[in-house]
Amino acid sequence: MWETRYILLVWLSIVCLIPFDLKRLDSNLRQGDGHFKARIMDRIMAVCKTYLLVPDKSRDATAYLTSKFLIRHDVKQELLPQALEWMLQVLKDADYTTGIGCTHMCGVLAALALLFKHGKREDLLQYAPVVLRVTLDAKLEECDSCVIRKLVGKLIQRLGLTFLKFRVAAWRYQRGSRSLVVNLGAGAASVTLGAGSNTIQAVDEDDEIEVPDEIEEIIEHMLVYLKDKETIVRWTSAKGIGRVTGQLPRELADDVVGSVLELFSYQESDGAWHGGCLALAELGRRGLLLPERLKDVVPVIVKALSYDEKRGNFSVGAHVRDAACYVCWAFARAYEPKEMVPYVDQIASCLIIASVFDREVNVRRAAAAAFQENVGRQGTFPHGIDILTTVDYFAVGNRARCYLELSVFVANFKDYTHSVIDHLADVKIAHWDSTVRELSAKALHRLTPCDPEYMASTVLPKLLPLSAGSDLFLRHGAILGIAEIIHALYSIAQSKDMPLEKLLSSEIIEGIQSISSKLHEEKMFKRHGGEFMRTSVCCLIEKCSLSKLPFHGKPVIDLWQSVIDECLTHIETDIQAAAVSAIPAFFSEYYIKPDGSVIKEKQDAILSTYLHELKSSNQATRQGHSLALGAFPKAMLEGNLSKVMSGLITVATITERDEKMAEARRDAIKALSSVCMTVSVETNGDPDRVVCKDNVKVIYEALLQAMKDYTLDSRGDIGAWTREASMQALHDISSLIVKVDSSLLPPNICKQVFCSLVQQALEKIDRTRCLAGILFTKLLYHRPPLPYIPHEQEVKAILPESAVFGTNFSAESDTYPLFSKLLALPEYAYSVLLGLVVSVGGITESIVSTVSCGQCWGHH
Amino acid sequence: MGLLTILKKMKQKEKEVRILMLGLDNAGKTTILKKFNGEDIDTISPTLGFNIKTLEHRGFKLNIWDVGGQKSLRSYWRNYFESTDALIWVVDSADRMRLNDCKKELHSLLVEERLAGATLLVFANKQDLPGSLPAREIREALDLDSIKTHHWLIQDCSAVTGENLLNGMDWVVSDIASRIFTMG
Repeated sequence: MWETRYILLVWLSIVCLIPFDLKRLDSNLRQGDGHFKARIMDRIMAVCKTYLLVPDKSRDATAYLTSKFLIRHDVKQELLPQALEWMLQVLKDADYTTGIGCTHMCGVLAALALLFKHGKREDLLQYAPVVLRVTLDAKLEECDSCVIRKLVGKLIQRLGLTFLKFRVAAWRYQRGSRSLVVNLGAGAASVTLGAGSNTIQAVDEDDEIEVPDEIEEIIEHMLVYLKDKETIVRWTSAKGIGRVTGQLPRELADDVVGSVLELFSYQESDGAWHGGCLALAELGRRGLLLPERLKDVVPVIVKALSYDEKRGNFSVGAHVRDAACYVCWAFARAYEPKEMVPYVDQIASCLIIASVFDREVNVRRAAAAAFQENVGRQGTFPHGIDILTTVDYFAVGNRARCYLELSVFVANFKDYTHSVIDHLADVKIAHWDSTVRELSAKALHRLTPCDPEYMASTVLPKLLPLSAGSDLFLRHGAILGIAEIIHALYSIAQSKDMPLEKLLSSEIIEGIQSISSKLHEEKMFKRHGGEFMRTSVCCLIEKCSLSKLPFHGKPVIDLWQSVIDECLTHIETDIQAAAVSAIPAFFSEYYIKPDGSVIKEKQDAILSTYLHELKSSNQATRQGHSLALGAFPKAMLEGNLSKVMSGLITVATITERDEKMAEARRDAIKALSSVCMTVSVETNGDPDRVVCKDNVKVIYEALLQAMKDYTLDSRGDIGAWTREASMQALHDISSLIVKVDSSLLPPNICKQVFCSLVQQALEKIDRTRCLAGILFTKLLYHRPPLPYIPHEQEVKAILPESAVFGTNFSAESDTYPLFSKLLALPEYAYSVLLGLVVSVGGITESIVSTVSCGQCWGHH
Repeated sequence: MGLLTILKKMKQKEKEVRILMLGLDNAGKTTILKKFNGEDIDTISPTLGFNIKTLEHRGFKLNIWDVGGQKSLRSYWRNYFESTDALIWVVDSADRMRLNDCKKELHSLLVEERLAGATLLVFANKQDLPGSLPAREIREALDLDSIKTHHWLIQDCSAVTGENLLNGMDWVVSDIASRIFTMG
């Protein structure tokens, strides 16, 4: 049990504090074998030697015990030299590449570090050179164990402090008197209470300090540890550098600061940057970084605040940025406002940008906290209080909110407008994470009203050449950014009732027009990362169409059409979705004439291609084109509705050949529903134009048929996707129809709608059941009401409107008892039974037991 | 070990505490802070901004936040680095008219989760003014005895003369120390 040993060792370390000589405890009686019992001192030393070398936790307690024991007045005279000799021998003998060697070294190094921390300088000074020599000769900086490297870092800084005589650096920067007692002293009577504050007098003359040669070597090593790959080692070293520097004369200390600043080069690792930040913060906190140096330090910190080194498709640097915030925070505490004034604007902008736009939440929070600290202590940050009360710890937690809302709030302050916009357009638009790039583009959209002129004349010309550059991320971000800014400028022009051309020069419009052809010529759509190019160009198409850019009848339109068509066959649903989202705006703007009629050739060509693609043997192609047809504007469907519907219905129908294409069926149903929404209802209309009495039956038959899709594959009940889409479609279309003419829905259709929903409400998949329950109740209480509801009164009694909205339909214990009551109603009985039978055959125990229990079946 | 851990450790080792100074306007918060800081108190206008000052007392580093005049205090309750250890609620003892407002504000503040467990010191300020209520009456007016969720103390004082300011701070420090730094 290491716990027992640990506690005993700690206890022994307390025993060591007894003030009188340990000899007094020794017995002078002979033992049974005729020898004296070993002296207490030797016995404790033996314990130390034994347990310093064990691999468990009690080694830590032993290190503490050893340090406390060896600095005893009596022990240090008798045992210290030989104990040190033993420890150094262990260090020399141990091989850190073996487990046991590591264990031995850890114990001894920990003991030595604590010894030099707790011991008196004059006792230990004579041993310091040899300990340093042995430690450095062991070349432990190459050791794999970060614990050993950390302990070496601790030991050598203590050795450094031993070599230097203790003093409070006279040259240290101090910010006013900080003792409460002294400050209140004039008025309060209780000055005598003041104790424990810093009373050591500073030594005035720097010249008198002797700096041994070893110090330089120690600092050199500390700087190596400062760029270690492990945080704990860097942190130890940063503290050490702070402590040792505090004891140095001003000149040498400034050299240390210089060396730390050298770490901030892009040849150095991210670890070096992080360590460097920690060291700067430590030095600042201790008043060792003099205000004269701020002019060198601030630019470095500004760089560190945005440090982000790409490593393939991720990056490192969040810890560097976090540490840079810590430096800003520490500086806020360290300096008088007048010292910081020249740097305030720069630091304020950088901190705000980090707190709003950093990818990582911890960095955003760190930056917000550092900003707050600066406002509170420096008081000179522009609009500080307004910003810190909005951009606070809680608000910066959500990244989307940061980009889309807080950014606008900040940019509305003139001091920050351009730095916010520039940061997005120069840095974040090229970020390695596509989510960040997309958010940046959206943010640029929202920021455009802050300074439309700047966006049009500075940002757009900057982004345009990047859209065909060599960096994939940058290209993607730039195209998205251009698209969003154009759209925002268009909205502004609209609201001011002026043409967009007033804001945009013809070169810009020309440039936008040529983006796609440049990408096409460079084969950027086909190369690595083509997916990003496709989605971003789809976004560009959508936004340009919405902004009514004057590209009508130009070659770019055909190019865009081909981009959209290619996306629709793409296997990634995100890319299909981007294309589908571009279709309504694109078709409406470029294929429909100002009088509302469609360009016939285009319509025919596109419809025939798309309807043909619906029959593809490739599921993705079917999905893409189904959804695309669903997104067609009304004019594009004009005169062709029957063809489109029957095409979609064919996709939605199960045949033996394409049984497994449940996703295609789902998307066809969704498309059918949205086509109905687009064309809307006219009772006696033309079935090639609108939903009417001639095609209602066909639509409902297709949807009700889809409710019977129970296809299974290795992913489980994939038919559920089709059924869910169909339920939603039944609800949406019924809702649409009853608002126009409820006589279009005959009772037998209504009955089937309700029955199939009830069956689904007793399904085994929670998600399906939940949707069915919600839609059933929505239709039950629909305004205006559906023309026929089977057993309306009874059903409403079982599912009263007030209760329905508190029911959790995804919880089986809520839904089964409720819906199984419908078993008593003849028109529902068959569907209820069907639903229950399917569920009781399911594999989820909770469902089987709820379904089989008496509540559902018993009393009928 | 992330930076958060490093800073938590630092707070423990250097015995740093964070104190929020609150109260109705014109209660004398900034005057108290300036007095603490040994600054001139002749020119004080309503605090539009917010001030943080660090002072050393009995081995502790007190970070005192004066956030007077802020509409929303939420932003100050916590951030990345620190939580609030103590509240100093400053009362204008001569302002009988607004004692009821003062009570309401105080009690609504104390239910805030982020301030749970914080030590509460009430400074019955402006005792140097004629007609000011003594601490005993303020205690009743603010219904302090109903507060069970926080350790609290009411201390009469005068920011202008500095009287009893130190006593109040002594109590705050020892109360926080007994809660947080028992091992220290």
